[in-house]
Amino acid sequence: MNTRGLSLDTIPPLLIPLRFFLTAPLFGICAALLIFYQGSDIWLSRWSFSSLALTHLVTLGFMLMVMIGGLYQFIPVMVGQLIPAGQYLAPVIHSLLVIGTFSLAAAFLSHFIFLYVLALISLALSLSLFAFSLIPLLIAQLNKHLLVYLLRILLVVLAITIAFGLYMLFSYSFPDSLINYRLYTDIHALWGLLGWTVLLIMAVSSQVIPMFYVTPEFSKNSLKLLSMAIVLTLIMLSFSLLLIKDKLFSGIFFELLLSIELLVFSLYSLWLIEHRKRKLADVTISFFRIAHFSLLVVIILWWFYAQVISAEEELLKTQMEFILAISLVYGLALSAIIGLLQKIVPFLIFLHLQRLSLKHPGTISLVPNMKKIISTKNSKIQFLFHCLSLFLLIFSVFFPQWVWLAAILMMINFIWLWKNLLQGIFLYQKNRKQILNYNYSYET
Amino acid sequence: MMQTTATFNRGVILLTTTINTFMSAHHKECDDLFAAAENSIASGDWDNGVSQWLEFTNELENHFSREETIIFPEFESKTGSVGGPTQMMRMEHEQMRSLVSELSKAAADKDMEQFLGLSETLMVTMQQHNMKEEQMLYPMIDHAMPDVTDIIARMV
Repeated sequence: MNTRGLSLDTIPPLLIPLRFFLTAPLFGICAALLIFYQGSDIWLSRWSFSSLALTHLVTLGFMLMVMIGGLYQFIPVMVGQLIPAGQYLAPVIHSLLVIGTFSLAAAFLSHFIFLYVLALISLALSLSLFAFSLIPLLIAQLNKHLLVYLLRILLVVLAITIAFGLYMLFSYSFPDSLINYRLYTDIHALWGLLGWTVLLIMAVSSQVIPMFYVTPEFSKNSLKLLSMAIVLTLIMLSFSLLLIKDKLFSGIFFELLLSIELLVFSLYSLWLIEHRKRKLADVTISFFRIAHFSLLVVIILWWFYAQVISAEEELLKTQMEFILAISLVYGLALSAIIGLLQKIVPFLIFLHLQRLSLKHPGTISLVPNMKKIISTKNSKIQFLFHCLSLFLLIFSVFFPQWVWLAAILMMINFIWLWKNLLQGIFLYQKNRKQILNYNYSYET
Repeated sequence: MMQTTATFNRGVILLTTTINTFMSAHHKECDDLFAAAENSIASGDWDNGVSQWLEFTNELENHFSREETIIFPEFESKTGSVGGPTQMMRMEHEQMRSLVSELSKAAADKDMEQFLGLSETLMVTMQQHNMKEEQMLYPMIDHAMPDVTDIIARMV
């Protein structure tokens, strides 16, 4: 093992991950505003531009935003090296991602070519900068940890998703080029909504569930095999979509295979959660339960969608497509992410204040424990808002006259998240000042 | 419980020849003791909780002292590396000791809210510390010292 350059004292400046975490809820609020503004039209068709704008506000603006911030924090703990030049690159990557996501959503809603071009350039730049700063660490690491393995696969899947996305964006920007948008959108959505979302939750679950809840470990080989099988199935499914026009046996076979793989993962995770030794009521574990339960719902509905509903039942098919997307993004990914933020942000604030207090003896009482940064009560309220908004979003697909209520609850969910994170930051700043100004004469 | 712990450790010696497997297993053992104490206290069973908490803190201190008095000095003298990663780990031990002493005070005062807030914080701190050791430091130590049978024997 090459240990040169390894350091165990690797925590990036607090602002690097926090700027991503604090921006994400704002995109959630924008997404809720868009639903509110569009009203019942938002669930008319998944091909509508407003639903494309909505999907990207949440997936790029929230999910990818938190993931990049999280990786800036987590990779150093895993591999002993900071992501290079974070102090200079993170603000650039962050700003470009903000500009790219906004201009993409605005382009879908307005069709200004200029906005498509702006989105193309800023997203391509932002994601390549991040990928290039990450690749050396992931290639060079000889460390055989499961998470490093899953991260590599995750980033490949994300790269494929983004490549299809950028390709379509390129065609929107230069409308002379003719491509089969629907086909490419299906493949882009398959890799993004199923591949990226599920593998992201797999990588996070494999690490977090055993560690924080004292459960049996996930079997390394099973998860390696499972993640590889999911990617191979996605590849085969994409080929069958690209090469075979009618849905033939091969497509159905690979869909069945993929759903079995997902079923194994969700049941395995739920089984581990039930066998945890750390039994105390914990909001993050409730969020994880909702996440994995949503995945189960997705699998069942997918089969219903693919096999039971006939092509003529267009309304029901459209409703199912939206429910699948809501369950995957809001139910699976966002539940796990919002649940984790309840722990990650308080821990980071604690960690930085504790480090500071070690240099200023006598100030340990100024370091708040995690639950003083985001209280259990506030996290429970978050969980309530999240579950209510998830339920109402699904409900509003069938009863679109209630979509305004779903949008309001979704907005409250993200505002509450943002408020809790901000309160944490204010507490950090206040206590940091007190620690720095601590006067020894106040002792005794 | 202490008896089981010692037996378990002896069982592991026969199976392992690396610091990483031996000490990682001990991390898990500490996690189990921690979870048991926290479960009891969260359910209001202070009598059992406080004695289980004591059991955990003894085992944790035992773990730290194995590292600070046996493993780290051996590694430092073998590699000449002082003030590097082992120093960082010693500092994190101090951070955890400070949390543990606050927790013991909360347990003595039967202050559940304070205890659970601190126990959550200790849990996350412990886990990220363990991850650094299991992913980086222990493999470095095993690499620098191929034969650790003597060292493991001194730890039980």
